[in-house]
Amino acid sequence: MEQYFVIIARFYPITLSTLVIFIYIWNLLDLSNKFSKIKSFLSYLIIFNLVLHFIAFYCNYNSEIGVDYFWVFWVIRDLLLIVLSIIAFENKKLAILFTFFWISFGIYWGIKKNLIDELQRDFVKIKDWVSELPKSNYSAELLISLNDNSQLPALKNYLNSQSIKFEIEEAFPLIKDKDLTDLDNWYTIDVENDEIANKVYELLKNSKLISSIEWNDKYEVLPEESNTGHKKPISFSTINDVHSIEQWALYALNIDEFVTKLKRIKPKKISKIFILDTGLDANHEDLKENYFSVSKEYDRDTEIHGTHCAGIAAAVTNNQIGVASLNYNNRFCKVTSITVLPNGKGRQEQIIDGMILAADLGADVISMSLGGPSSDSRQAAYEEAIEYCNKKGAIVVVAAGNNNMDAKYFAPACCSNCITVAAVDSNLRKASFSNYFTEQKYGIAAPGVDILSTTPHNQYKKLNGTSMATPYVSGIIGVMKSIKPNLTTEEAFNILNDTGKILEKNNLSHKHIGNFIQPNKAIEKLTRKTYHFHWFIEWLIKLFSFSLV
Amino acid sequence: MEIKIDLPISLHIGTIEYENLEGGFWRLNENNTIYNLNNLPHEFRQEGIRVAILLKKSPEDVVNIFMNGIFYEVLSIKKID
Repeated sequence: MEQYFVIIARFYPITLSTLVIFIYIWNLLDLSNKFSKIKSFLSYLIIFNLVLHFIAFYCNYNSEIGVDYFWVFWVIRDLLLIVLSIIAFENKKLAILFTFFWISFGIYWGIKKNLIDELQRDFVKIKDWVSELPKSNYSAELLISLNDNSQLPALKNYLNSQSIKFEIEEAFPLIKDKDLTDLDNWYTIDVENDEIANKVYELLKNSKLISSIEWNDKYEVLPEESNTGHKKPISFSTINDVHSIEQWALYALNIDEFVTKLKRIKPKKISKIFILDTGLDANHEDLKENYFSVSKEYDRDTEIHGTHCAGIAAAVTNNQIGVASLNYNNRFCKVTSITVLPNGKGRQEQIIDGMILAADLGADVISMSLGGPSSDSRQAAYEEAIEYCNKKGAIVVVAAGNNNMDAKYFAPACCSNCITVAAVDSNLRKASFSNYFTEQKYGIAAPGVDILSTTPHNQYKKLNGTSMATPYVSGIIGVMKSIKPNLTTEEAFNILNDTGKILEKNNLSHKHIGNFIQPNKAIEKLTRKTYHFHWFIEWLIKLFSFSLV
Repeated sequence: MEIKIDLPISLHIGTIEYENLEGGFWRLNENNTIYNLNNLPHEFRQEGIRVAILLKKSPEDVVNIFMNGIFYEVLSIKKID
């Protein structure tokens, strides 16, 4: 219900604007008596608009976007604007000025507050909602050919006499020249289920009314496997890392807008991201400046996996070398490594030991691109470890897994107080391998196909997996923790989820992978909440703007 | 009386495949049943070759970076034509 309130609430500024426009037109028509009919129609429109306006108003204060006491000011403001508009339109010059100001103000705040994007999000929600509505009570279909079209009423009467509920329609309604074909004699009969379809089949197969009858198979077109590799040419105005042009993920994450926002922000601390993996090549040209060592034994990578993940989370950015991460100008995060999976595999005890060590060393983010089959005891052990890390101030981010199965069957992906990350491809569709969520408390999506990042010995390589999606989330949370050090897992997830892009559902599989992270919007929301000294400006904006906060 | 023995070792015949996930790993496809392989010798790392292979299931509590199901240790392997 909440989402419908939010959608209707969006009409609020629109209804206010249209109300003023209607009053303006009313005033113009007032100059002549010729338009009495139009005026009468307009009066109905104004009433309808007023009703919609107050419904939208009500929805604002029954949804999360409503603010406790603002409704008093908003009512006063709306009434004032309506009265002003009536007075203003008596004077033509003032009316033009007023209309110009009104439209400019609306457009300005619409753009500033990403109203268009918000409306697009709502549109996707409505599309999903509509696609989930039951389309028909008839799930089985037969295809028949009548001997003659004139026998259609007889056929209907016959089926009605057998107490069968059905719908009959032309099978090929688009045929223009019916003289050239007999296809206009073909009809589809839709019935409730296969059992009734069988009954109809038996009744009609020997009927003289029809020349043929057959089952009409319903084919479902499976979604096309996504192409990998971004088709759009990628260039960035805010970063200069040479391989960034191959990083489609940065384009999808709107890094230019993100960096523009970061430039205005002074972090409160440099956060620490711990990569628990196969180790890390501490001497990599695009990592060493951002790297701090916990122990020498963790400063080399036995595989390539740990180094790759670290590069995604916090490669040195804007240094004209290698790849870029979300850690712009290296002002926000440092990265380190704890080897928990030498040679790519290990046991749960090693992982949990690594988590505890990371938490004790002051980790802000613990990034774990790893997992295995879950069981009650394994899940319980991970839950305990995650709780310990949370209490120490660390946010744990884990990979959903690569089985194209429900993440609840894998640990630590199934755990409740960590953020679990699924993978999408460059078309922002679920990666074919990515696990999905049915019961996950904090599930989110990030780029995980064809991801270019650092590998040992100053190399760079593209890899696929939810392991690659995980450090993108760790990276943005690292930045968020540097701005708001006491950020909790729940707060971080809520911000990423609320500001994330809603991915269109795969209607055939209903595999939910959460919203796609949008770091620029997440930072905007975080800083809006963080800088409390701006409250008065916020208050004024809310009071006078058209947009919804 | 029926005695059921769950052998940890099994013999399979199938085709070697490469899975391009998480840096990549090798697997055996036996009539569309997939066995992820841990330590496939280098000389057998070729897509499409048919092999007879003796596998030992890794313990289920093993955690790995591939996150793609259970892995098997290769105990013995022979190329077949």
